[in-house]
Amino acid sequence: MNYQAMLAAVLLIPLLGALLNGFFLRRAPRLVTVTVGTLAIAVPFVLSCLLVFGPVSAGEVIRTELFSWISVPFNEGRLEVPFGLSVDRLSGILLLIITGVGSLIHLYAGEYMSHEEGVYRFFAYLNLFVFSMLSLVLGSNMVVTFLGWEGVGVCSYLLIGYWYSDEANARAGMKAFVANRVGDLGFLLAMFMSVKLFGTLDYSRIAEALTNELAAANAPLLTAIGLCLLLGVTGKSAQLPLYIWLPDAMAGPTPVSALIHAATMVTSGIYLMTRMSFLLVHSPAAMTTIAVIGACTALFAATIGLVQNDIKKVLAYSTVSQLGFMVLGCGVGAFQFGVAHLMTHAFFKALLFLGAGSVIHAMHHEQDIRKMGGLIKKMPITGWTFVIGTLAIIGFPGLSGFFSKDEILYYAWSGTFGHPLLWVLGALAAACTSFYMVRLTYLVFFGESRVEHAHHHHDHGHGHDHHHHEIHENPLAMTLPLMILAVFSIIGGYVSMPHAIMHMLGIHAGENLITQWLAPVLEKAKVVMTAAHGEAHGSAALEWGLMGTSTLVMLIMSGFAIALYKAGPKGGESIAKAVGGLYRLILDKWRVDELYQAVIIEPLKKVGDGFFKFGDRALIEGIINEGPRGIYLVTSVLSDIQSGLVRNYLKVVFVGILALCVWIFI
Amino acid sequence: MVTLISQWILSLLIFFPLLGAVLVAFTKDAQKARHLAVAVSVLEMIFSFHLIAHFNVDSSAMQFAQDLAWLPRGTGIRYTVGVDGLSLLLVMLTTILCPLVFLSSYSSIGSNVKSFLALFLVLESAMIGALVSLDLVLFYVFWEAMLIPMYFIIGVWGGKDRIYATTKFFIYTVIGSLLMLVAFSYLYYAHYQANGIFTTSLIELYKTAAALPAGVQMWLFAATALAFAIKVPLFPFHTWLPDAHVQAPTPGSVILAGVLLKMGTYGLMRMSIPMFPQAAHDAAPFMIGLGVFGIVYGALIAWRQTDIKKLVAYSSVSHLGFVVAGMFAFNELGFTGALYQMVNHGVSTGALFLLIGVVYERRHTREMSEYGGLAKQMPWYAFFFVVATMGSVALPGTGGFIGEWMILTGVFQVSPAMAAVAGTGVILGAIYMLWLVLKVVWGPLNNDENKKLTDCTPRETFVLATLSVFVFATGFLSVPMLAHTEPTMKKLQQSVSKKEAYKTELVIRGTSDEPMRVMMNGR
Repeated sequence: MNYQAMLAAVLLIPLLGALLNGFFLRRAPRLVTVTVGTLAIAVPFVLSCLLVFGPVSAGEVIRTELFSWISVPFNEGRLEVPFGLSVDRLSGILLLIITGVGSLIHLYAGEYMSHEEGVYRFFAYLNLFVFSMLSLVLGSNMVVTFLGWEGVGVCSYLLIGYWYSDEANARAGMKAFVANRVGDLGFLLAMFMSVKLFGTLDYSRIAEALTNELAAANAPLLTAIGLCLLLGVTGKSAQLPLYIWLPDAMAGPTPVSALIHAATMVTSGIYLMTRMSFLLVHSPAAMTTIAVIGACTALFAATIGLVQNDIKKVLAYSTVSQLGFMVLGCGVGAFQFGVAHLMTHAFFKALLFLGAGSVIHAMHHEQDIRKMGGLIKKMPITGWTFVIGTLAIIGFPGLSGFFSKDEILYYAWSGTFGHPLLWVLGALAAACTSFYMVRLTYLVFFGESRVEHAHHHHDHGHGHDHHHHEIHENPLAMTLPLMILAVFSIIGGYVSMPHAIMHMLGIHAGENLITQWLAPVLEKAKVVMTAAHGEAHGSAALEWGLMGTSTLVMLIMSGFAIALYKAGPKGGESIAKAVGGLYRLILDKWRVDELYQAVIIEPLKKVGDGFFKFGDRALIEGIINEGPRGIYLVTSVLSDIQSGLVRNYLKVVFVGILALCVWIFI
Repeated sequence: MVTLISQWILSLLIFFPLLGAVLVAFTKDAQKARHLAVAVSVLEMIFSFHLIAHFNVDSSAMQFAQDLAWLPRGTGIRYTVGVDGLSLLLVMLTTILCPLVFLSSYSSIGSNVKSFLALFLVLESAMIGALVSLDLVLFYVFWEAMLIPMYFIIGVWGGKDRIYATTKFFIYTVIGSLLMLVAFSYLYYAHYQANGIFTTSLIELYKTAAALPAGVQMWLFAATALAFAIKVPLFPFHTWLPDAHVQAPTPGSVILAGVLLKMGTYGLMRMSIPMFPQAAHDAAPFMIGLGVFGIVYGALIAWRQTDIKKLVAYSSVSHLGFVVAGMFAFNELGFTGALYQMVNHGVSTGALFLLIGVVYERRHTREMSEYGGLAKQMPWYAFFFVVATMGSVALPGTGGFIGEWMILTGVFQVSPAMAAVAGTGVILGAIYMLWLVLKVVWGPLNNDENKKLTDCTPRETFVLATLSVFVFATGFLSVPMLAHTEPTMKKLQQSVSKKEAYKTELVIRGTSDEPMRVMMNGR
């Protein structure tokens, strides 16, 4: 099989899986559904490995065009949008994450959803999601990416509302879709501007067309494109101000949260910014805005995470915060570390979500961490892998998060568009991360058990009726993915080893692995940045200093969290009381949802009502019904009886025929 | 034989449903009449495939033309018909949608079945006739002929307030028609004054009209554009539509949304714009403005409706705002997108009205609050509902996306601000449509009445599945489909942007030396 065909197969096999499960295997036994669903991702994973470790790692870019999708005459030429796919080193990384982590999560989901009826629907959606996500990263032009971009939005909508019988779930799905659509408008506008400026939407053609002269002549337009792309990113990657959908998205089954709302879909924004890095770097204004949005989101979401009591909500806000780090990394010009953190985050956050799912599954859908505690004795694999995930995310030296996050923080200070203030925001966010993650881990897995023994069954509208009271470890189908992800959460970060450490270890490769790997993709951006701003201005001393500071902060905050919650969840109450109103404000998530409701949704509803009542009913209808009395009379006569109606109707037709005759014969 | 068919195909397409109407009227049994109507419309559809199979995709001329004497010679009124890239897709939409509508009428129409079917077949004739007419009087006759069956379809088989609704529909349309008639008469005499002969040939009058002084052009443009804008319906001439939709029986709503509204946008593209290019240019900012305002206006009102049919009706106001805005951008993207969006709107909104009909027949209510949780009871119904919704919100992969994307890209080239405002329609569309889905399909199945609902019957499934296939087929096969329209759109764009008369010609098969080519697979 040649590489083009393999590339097409990688994209189409998940679609095939979705169609099989959605239409043809509706009555098939559960095992068949799960096997088909998982294989539809595992086979593409194998093919992806062959592609990425074969030609792509050798520096090739594999391209193929499936068919011509849009083709319209445009100005003097044509606007051609083929359904084109390409895989280079950037999409290669995402390809491996999507299919690799995706396969593990599919395997896990087969067991997690084992008590559900009609699980074919779940796997059909999940495969369709992977198809969409793959078109997002494999698309060789912005329109194919947009197909994936909106496609993942729809699958997310369907999966969040998977248990649709509870209207709250369906509403959460709708909220996600609408918030994403706001961002999608930004993506659309960026496309329109690209068409206007470049006459093409193909990434490589845009890159060719964007010369320094063109950039200099169209600086405001490039900034506008950058900001519109950023709007898209804030929607899909849950950044301020559009992040509000992601915490609600936790209404979906937990494997969905792991795959979609942690490892893949929400990182699309980082992919897009890296893909368009050659364009973004032309606009310092756009880059700075991106960095500021990322840093603010990282801190803002982390503060909310401090006080949540729902295991999935903590992880959700943590995801928003971590995505903020990645966006910050892109914004300061360190795209490769945005991608590196995307990858390590995919490992440890998927691990944490799947671990949370394992707990929730064992506890029959209990999600309140105040009712857990001491679970590590009953669920050792889940517990210890969760601990590894936590150490990775808080940046414990040697684990993956340490490398990727510290590189971002270092560049936040010293990168091309970096500033010490951005580092401060990031470091504060990292401090909060250490606190809430250790708090979460401690309250769930350590200390005294607070599990209520007279366990009442929480029904989320997905009726399974068995009752196990004993909490125990889950089967291998669920723990195996945990263990694999734990391994990668430990080692995944070595690709972005800081210079300082490389020196210390005597590695003189020049650049770390991720920088080398992504060099072809980021080459143009680097040239532009170096030309305009010189080489990045860091030093080994600064690197050591920042690394030491964040490690110290991490240790202090973790120790503080353990000390505070040693005696159970009540530990935090004294602080909560001390800050009073602020605590309640943070607990209510800064009341942003309420703000949007009051400032945007309700006024829009009023405008809609006003249009209907005053525009349609009073004004237009008024003029038409009341204005010309003649018409009104006809209306009233006609609405009397049908015979009258027909008579009058015939009159009008007669007048019409008369007019026609007059016209013809005179 | 093929040449002979090509010569007569359009007349066959126009008059065959009329023949069917006569046959249906003389059928004894209502059920047999239904079968007959389906058979006639399916045959009609098969006939229409001849157009696709033998259409010359490289030509912008009027193909399959026929030009026969009709009224006395001195009047210059002839029977002239032909299709080009503009009308072809709409003819196909009509012939494909009609059989589906007849299938849906098995359950939705219970009384006076034969009259209904006969009227509906007459309507099909009139629609095809209006789309292929190249003579203004012939066009006017078909235009009015569409009105009569629709008037009765709403007035006799409609809901509680059908008389009010149908009268409103009638008066609005007639006012528009009369204005159009005035404009046509003026042109008729203007041509006589300039050339010394009378003619109502559209192709001739393009030249006459474009040569008129700018001031006169503007008046005539206004008269015709108003007539078509009412039909579209463009804000602020849309208030007849929600009433008509709400009262119309399901098949009526489907054909109203699917084809009849497109007569307005078709008229703008066939007559108002190419006839009066100068005036169209002057009016373009205003027309784009109305279209874009209508997008937002219709969407916000749709969101606030509790009557499902009214919601979808207002969504049409919003969607057709896109179409009008697109065509007045005067670039190929805008024209092509507008045309494509007419087809897509027909498919997805047609499907939505059919879906509403399915539950209306079971529950006899259109109130959103009466439903909820239908996915549990009617999984296939829920599936089709979501598919139609995705088509309506222009998800990439559906035809709606291609259409809206082209329109917005086209509008952006002339006015980024207008495109940005129109773009909010993308968000608002998601809001009102997903709200509808949330309230009807998702949520708990609380209402006891709904617990007795049965999923789609095989006939309903067939109709909805067919439309669902079209929702996605139009999303991926736009290139082969739009290949048929490209020369026409290009010519339209060129003549309008140069403010020249639109030039086209009749190609009568068998008389020209143009070789017959089979163009099944695009270019």
